[in-house]
Amino acid sequence: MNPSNSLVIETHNLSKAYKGVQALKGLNLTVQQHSIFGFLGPNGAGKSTTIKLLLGLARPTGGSAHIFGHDIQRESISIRRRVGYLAQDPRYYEHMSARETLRFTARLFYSGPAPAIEKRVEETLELVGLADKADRPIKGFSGGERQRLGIAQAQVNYPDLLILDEPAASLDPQGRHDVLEVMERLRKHTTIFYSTHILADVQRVSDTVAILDHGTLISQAPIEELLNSNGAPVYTLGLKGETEIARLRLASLPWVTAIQTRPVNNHVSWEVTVSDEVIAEAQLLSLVQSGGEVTVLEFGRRKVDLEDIFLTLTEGDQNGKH
Amino acid sequence: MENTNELRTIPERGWRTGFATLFHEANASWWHSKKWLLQSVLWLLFLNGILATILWSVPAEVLAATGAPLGSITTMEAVQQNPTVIALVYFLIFSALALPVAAIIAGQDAIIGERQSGTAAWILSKPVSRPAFILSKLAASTLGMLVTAVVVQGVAAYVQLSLRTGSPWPMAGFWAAMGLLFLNCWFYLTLTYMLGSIFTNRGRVLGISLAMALIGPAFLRSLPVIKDFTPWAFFANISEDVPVGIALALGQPPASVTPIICTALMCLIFTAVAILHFQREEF
Repeated sequence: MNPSNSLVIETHNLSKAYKGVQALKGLNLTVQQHSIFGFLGPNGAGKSTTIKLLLGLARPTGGSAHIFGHDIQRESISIRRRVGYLAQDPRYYEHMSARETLRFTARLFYSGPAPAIEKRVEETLELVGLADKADRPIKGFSGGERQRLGIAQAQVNYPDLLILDEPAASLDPQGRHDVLEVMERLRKHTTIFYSTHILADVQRVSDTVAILDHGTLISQAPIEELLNSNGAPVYTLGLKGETEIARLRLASLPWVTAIQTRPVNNHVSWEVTVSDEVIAEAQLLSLVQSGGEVTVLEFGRRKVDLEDIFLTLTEGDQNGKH
Repeated sequence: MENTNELRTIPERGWRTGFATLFHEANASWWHSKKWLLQSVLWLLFLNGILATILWSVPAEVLAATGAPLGSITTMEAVQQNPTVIALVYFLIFSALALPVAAIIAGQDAIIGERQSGTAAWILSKPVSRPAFILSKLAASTLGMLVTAVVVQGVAAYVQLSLRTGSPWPMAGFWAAMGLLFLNCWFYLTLTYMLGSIFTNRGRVLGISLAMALIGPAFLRSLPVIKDFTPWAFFANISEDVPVGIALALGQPPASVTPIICTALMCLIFTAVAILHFQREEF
């Protein structure tokens, strides 16, 4: 398969404005086949808008997008035949049971035979762990059960692409765990594109991440690349004593690019950003201690996680010497 | 995960995509509940009750003595001299007033309810065309109204008339009049669907539809030209002439088919506007 064939979602300057307010600004996104693609952004960033545009539930005001090579505006039904979708706040016919909901959904994709549809419904109920609650009316379902039903109805057609809008947002830790577990189980069968603002979930299950803020794509990369490429190494130190003298000594060094200081209880915490990791490893600790005016309580390299990257990118956080 | 290969992808394409499943579901929600039974019994008690009260309260010998040939009843004055025809006319007039209200109540929630609850967005994220969404619901409501409000009532009324007069009532004319009653209902059903696709507020949909049904006919006398373009004069007595619906029930040809054609066309226009408006809707 050549690279262009392996693209499941491709958007070109996709834009959407609501009554003059630009909700999405020229989004250029590519989602590779068989990836679990985390679509990150704070509330109101434009994640749900993007998803609705991809599914034909809203119309773009600019740009274009293709899913499986089909145009989202002209060939929406062909796209939806191959897609499963879970909305942020999924709603179903409350009088139906989980089994009836899945049967109804399956009938929107398949015309029969009836035993094959029942078999598919049963498989999907098993997949999300709802087999024992299959015949209960869904109006009595908990948030977690409702979300599992949401994944089941999205998966009942064995889609080539699963689009999940904040699948774990409203769930308690156990519910979140269950949903992520189901997603991990599905990863070998389908491409998953999901939006979230829960960074720990993204780091746990995603292989690629895009970060959206105020309708603009800030970054898109494989998660490992994003974690490894995020800025210069940062060392953390816990200090007691005349820290200002030591700070001035360190700040004069050309390979120290930023020092952030913060009082913590009866000591001071530093975050030292460096441009040369090798020199820092060899000299930083001894340089701090060289004047004898401070006692080092803690020393280590700060592990960068997705939250740091996210906050840096979305808030435009600037570290600087001061 | 096992692939159930024997599953057949739905064959529908274009605007029909999803219609069969949605129609099946909408139909099931009508017929699998007690809604249809409740509607049928309610209208039987009310509409056939009016017919029965008049028909069976008049002594048989009086009915026999006033039994002029139906074909000769060409004025409202002649109508008023025949108790059987009076009973039929009241049945038709009350049906023409009451059944549109039932149609409006049945239709007002079909689109707005699904939009507000979020189920419309769910359905439309599946391979379903927007025309199929509207048409499946309209078709199920139409079928429900046709059976409960027209067929059941018509059969009961026809049996009553035939039993009381001692001979079968002229079938073709009677069912033509019932067909006109149905067209009258369908006018309000499609109107409500159109308004439901335009507005997001139930109050507006109900208010406009009910005003059309209950206040509209009041303008017939001051603005008689509207009788040619609306269903309001199908059964309403606005002149000495027998209204078109009552003429049909008596086995007479209608004086004019213009209001029938115009009403049918307006039903189609309302449906088309509902679909076009829903096509542009964003969720």
